[in-house]
Amino acid sequence: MLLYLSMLDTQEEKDKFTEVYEQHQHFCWYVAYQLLGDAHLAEDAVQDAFLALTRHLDKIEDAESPKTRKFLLTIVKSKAVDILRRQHGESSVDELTTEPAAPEEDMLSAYITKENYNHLISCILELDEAYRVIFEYKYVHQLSDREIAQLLDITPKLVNVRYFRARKKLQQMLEKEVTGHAGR
Amino acid sequence: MREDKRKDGKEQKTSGEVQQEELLANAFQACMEEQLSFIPPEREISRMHTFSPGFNAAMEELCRTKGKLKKHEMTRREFVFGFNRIAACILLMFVVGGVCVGGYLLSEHSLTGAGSSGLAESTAESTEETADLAVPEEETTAAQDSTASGGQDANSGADAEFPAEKEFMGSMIPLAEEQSIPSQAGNVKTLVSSPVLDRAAESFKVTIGNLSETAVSYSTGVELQVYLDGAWYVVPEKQREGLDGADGSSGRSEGIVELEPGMAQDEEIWLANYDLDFEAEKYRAVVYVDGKPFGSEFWFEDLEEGLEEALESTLDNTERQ
Repeated sequence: MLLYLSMLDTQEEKDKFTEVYEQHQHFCWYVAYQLLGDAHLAEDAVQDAFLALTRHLDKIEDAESPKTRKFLLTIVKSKAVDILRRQHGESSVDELTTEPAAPEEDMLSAYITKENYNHLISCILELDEAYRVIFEYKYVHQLSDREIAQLLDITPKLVNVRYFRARKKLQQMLEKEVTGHAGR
Repeated sequence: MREDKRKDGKEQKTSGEVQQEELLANAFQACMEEQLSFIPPEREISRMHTFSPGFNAAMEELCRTKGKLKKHEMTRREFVFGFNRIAACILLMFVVGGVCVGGYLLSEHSLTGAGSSGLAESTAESTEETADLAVPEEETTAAQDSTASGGQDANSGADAEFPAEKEFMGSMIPLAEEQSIPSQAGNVKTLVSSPVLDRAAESFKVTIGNLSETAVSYSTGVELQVYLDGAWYVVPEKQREGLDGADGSSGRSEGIVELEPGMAQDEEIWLANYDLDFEAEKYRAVVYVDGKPFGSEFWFEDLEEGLEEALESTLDNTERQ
């Protein structure tokens, strides 16, 4: 009985995966193409994204839901960013050695207020996708460092490094935005 | 994730921090929605771009296996790696086994040689001297043979120490010109049919093998030498008259035989043509191949080995008398 259920589950997952792919394949390609500017590289990013998705199908409840669309958006963007990193010859080792995480210098929370919400929005819209995807995984999709690491094929430590770099960048942008607005 | 942090014992989040995180989450949600609003519908994008056949094939496979494609590739790679590892282990076992068996046989052979001659000490010395004299690789076997022979090579450079003639079976026999003779060199091998001969044997065979890619020639005049007191001496052939083999052939008709590549030829030596001492330590049959001597050693069985036969023959003789 258990075996039957497990087989059924696998078949269900296969169906779900196919459904998600058929529903969103062009959408995913478009997102990747916007970032990469190359149709074939965009296809690579889509393939990487769906391969990563196979390990996290449990995060998807309904193939057609906006939540699924958002999840795919983040995965495809992160895979496209990975391709860009590779193109620029960046390695995860370099990331770990050149800029260590510095949580003690993190002052972002000081700028996250209701009053600064609009500034926050405009800063996020300008924020580089490489940083945005980390925030999206953490705050929108509520994934743990380990889950993000699995999706990005990196270590949880590197996820943490990237997260603090992203916070630092957002903090700098917000600081500039808020100060500039106050100066007007 | 937040719950994990609490479990990890890290700071407990204040309500302010929770609010900030909610604010951050809402902001990112809003930005994502805005980003999504700029993306055209699926149908429109499909008109913009047609996926490449390679991509379609890969995605079909991915859909069919639900991402197991990569797993399969990994498994295949692991299989190949595992197979190579097993093959390497088997090969290693063969090599180690071969070395052990070879070492055992070599030590067994050298022990026999040293034990019978009682010259174990000179064996070590002779090995060193042989190494100096011998041509590398080609004559390695020769060095081993000479080591096993109980040290005759120690005398190769010092023939003067041995008498030029020695008494053997009632007559004086000359010292052999070459003391150190290999049984194998290059691609030519010589081998006796049996290294231990029955005392009642009428003849034995020497096989000359040509493993090279060119023809070689050898002289059918096989020379017999005996090892006496640490040196090799030539055993002269008796007068031919009436001493030929039972079939009338002596097997010693002198001549040159050409041996084609990859071929082997037997030369039969009739023992009745020689006066032999069965108690002598050992003998060797020397064949000249392309002018170079090749020696294959043999000896007669000890009395202990043929004790049963000897007893039987003694009993037979007694009964006759």
